[in-house]
Amino acid sequence: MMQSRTTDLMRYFNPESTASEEEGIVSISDILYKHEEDIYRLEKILKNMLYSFDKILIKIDEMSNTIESIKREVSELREKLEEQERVMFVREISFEEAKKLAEEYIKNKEDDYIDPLEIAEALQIPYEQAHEIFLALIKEGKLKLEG
Amino acid sequence: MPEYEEIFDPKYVLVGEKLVCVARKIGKPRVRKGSSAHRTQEVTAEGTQSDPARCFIAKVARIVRDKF
Repeated sequence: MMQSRTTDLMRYFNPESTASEEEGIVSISDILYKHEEDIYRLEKILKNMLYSFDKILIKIDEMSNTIESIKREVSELREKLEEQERVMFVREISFEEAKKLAEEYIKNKEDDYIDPLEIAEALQIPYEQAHEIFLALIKEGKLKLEG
Repeated sequence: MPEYEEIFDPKYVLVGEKLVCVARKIGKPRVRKGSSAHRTQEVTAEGTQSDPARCFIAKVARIVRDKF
């Protein structure tokens, strides 16, 4: 029955089909018919695999969410660490000595711009002193404020 | 005699691109809500009566190479 139905279908779609072609198709359909159970089993396996893939995709999604939250936490921790106090040791030296050191530092500086904070940090002197030196150097014309 | 003058009158405001505070205690920065894209923050610098907090306007200056 299966054989005749296949041949009919083949003739309907390709009226010029030869006997050998028909035989070939019939034998394929026979094989398919014989292995219907196997195909059904394969289909089931494929369905299970697809289901497993879906599960894996969900897991990957969850993992990427976890990674994102870990990244966020790390950056928050980094921010906190940066916020923490940075201890700076300052030297107690006279204004004249500090000024001399500042002039030396400025002379050897590659960049053409400077601010008092940089002087304070480079020479490890109190900011007030660096600010005072900065103003004195402006007064002497060694530094020029812009803008 | 320091090169700078001290202001004690609260009617004055120090204005600059960068301010440096020297104080006994500096609080945590607070983000102002509703400050939109600028994310304005405020911070408190505390001193004592004998050692008050100081705030300086830190400006950038160009080095005049000929003078050195």
